[in-house]
Amino acid sequence: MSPADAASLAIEAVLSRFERLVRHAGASHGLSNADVDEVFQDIRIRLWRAHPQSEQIATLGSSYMYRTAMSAVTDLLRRRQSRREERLEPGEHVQNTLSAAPLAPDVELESSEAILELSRSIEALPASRRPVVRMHLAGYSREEIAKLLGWSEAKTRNLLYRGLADLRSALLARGVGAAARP
Amino acid sequence: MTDEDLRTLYSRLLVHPSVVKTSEPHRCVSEDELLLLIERRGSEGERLALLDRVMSCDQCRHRFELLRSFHQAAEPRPVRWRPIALAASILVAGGLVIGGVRLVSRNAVEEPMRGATSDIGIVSPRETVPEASAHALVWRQAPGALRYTVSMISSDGTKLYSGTTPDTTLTVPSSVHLPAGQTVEWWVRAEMSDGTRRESVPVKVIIAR
Repeated sequence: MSPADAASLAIEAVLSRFERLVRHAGASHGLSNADVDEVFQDIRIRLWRAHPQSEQIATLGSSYMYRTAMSAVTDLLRRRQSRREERLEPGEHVQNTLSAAPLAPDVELESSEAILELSRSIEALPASRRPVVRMHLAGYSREEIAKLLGWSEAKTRNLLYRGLADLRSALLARGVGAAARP
Repeated sequence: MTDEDLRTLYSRLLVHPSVVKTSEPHRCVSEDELLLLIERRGSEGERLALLDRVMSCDQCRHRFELLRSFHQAAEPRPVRWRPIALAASILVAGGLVIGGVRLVSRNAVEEPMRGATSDIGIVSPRETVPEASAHALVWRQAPGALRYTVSMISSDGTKLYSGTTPDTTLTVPSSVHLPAGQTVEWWVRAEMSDGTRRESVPVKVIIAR
């Protein structure tokens, strides 16, 4: 086996499990497979350039792998941001790329009002509850929220439930969701 | 409104932010700010404010999710205890009848495995073995395999050893120290003659004292 083949095998051995864990971690929140593929390709190139010998690759620690991976991800995000900004006119602001998609006509009027009231109601929540409620509505579990913020399960549950109660009250006061109640 | 109603409405808000006219346009969170949030640096107030910005923008949330997934995958993985009911239901679904009670410990992020897996049976070591036996790795042949790559990691995810062989046995060099009391995990990946790969289910081994 050539040294290059040996290095390739060593890189794949190091990355295969890591890649599986990344895909699993992002599976429930719409992580794009194409993005993951692009990052792993970048990581392979970085490892190949920095460690041409298979013996070196096999001994790489998890903290080294972590730094390499995070650096590859942030570089990818920066490249994309830079490309987006190049396409914009001077002074034009970078906005959500999905915002151009129109609402279906049958839901447009009703939804627009409800969306507007939801946005206002969320904005009115206390700062400690607002991001927790946003994460919950985006599909994150209480465990994920607690872990990200370094909070206990009890504190997370408390702030989330209070935040959701505040949100429902505010929406009802604005006339949203009243019809759904018995 | 139910949680489901709120979530549906919220997903529309993220996809159609132009419905909401704000005096100040959204400013996307930078990569450094995303890292600060994910690595839990800075004050709680700062992180809450950042998280609020991230979660209010679909684009920021996708960038956050990409970084978070890599961060999470690199973390040491806690061992969890699964309840008896889950273990029993898995076995029953597989057509097996088990009498009695069994606890299954399984890591939270080991499953599901993706791709072709587990027609490579791990023979030994398994469960608890002395260090001398832990160096001799044996598995069953996968028909059509050209070579096998064996990987071994410690419980905190540190790579201990990786080697490739065309055989179905491999001896981990004695220079790789496997201290008593430590739990290691190893698995085998086969490179098949048709260009595909197959992988065994990882096996945890406790090095006996």
